[in-house]
Amino acid sequence: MSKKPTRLPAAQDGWHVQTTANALSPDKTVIAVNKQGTVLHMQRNGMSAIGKDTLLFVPTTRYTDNIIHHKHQRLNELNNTLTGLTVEG
Amino acid sequence: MPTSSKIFISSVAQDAITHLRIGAFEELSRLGHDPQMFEKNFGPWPNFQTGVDHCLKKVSECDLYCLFIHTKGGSMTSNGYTVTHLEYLRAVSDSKMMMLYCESTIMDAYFKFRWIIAKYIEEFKLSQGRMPHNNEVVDFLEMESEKNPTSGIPSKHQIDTYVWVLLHDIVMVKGHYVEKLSWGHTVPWASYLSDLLQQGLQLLPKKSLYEESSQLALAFGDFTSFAKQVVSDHVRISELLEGRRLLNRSIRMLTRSEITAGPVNGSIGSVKACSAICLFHHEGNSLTVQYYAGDTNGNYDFEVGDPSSFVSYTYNNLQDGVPGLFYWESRRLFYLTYKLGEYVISYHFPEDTAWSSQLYADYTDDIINGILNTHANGMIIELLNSLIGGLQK
Repeated sequence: MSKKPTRLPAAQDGWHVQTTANALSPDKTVIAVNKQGTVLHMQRNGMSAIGKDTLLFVPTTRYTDNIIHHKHQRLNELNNTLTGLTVEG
Repeated sequence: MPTSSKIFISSVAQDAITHLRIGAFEELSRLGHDPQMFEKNFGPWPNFQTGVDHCLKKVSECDLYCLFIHTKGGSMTSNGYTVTHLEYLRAVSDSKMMMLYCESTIMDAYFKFRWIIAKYIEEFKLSQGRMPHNNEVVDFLEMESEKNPTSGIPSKHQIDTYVWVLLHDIVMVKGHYVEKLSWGHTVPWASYLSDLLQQGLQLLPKKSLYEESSQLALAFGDFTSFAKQVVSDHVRISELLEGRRLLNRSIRMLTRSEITAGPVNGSIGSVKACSAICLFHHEGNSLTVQYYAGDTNGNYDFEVGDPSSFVSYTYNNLQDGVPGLFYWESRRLFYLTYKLGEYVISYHFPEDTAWSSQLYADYTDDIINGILNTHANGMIIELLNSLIGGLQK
């Protein structure tokens, strides 16, 4: 019943989510620097030709955030929920 | 007088599952619980509340929420959700214990074409910049079912299309487990509720410990937040004493991370604990190493314009304080870097599971999030970055 941990069997080895991500981001820009220092800007779909000895960088969409502040806010929320929890009897 | 558990029995009113609902109500009553069901005991209906509000209030009052999904979608409300769906959402927002069931052939059908719904929603988000409304998903699925019979989407005349919207929200968006229920079978209530009782009995004796732990966590949370503000706003740091030792201490604190992605946090792989940290300072035309520690021969300086250096790339292209992630497949290493004013700091994380250039490109943000959200990693990196920021005031 609800104790079963599995929800998406296909995601166990990352295969399902990997193929989903491939389908959704074929145009993602990847910056590759080879051993000679040549910088290449390529799309995700064009990466199959690059060698393993290549430094890769993908610009992140993550913005600067304050992790301590976020964790503290979350802790406050959780604590408020737990404080309201009473067990009768 | 013992207090009975209120168990909300939710489903669309349809003849095919009446026996299931009535059977559940009678069995739960016999076991001493207080089942709540629309056609049995929802009255009296207050005239100052809509029928939907009254149902939602009943969900909020229950201890356990139980849902049966069959072929009917249910009564649509003006906001684009069925009443049954709203009841489920209320149970989610109230953090109710849930038992969710779906007729097995419907569940099997959904798992065959759920990717079509996921793909439609993602493409819609990219093209329209918003999530599709439920009626838009319904329209799409109905068209797809007629246009493409091999898609596996049953006709709306067999199964109401809204059933797929509800299932998708439960399985893919909220990530809740739905148990398949074969036609003619009933839920073994006594043993299932005994299972829940067993879980509850493990927690109840530790209630005071959890409350104390929660209070302590809050106290440390307040202290950490205050300490961070003091370091950031009120302290000028003239130098880092024993910088290499500081980096070594930081390395020992940065732990191994599981990397997950997608709506149900499917596992992608993992990254080992931090193996090295290097700190560089911009001096003239060079990014000069200030301190380095851990498994690296990092006693290198880099020219600011060196195109092959991730340190130079970080200094020239990244915004202050925004993390960048580099990957070198042949070295099996990730480099998490930050530009901090005239400094660049790089944290080295070796692969744990096998990664590839393609996986790195697909999941860059998820890898960064995975590293920073694991245990105290993000807070330690933030503190170290703040200290380096404090050097420059």
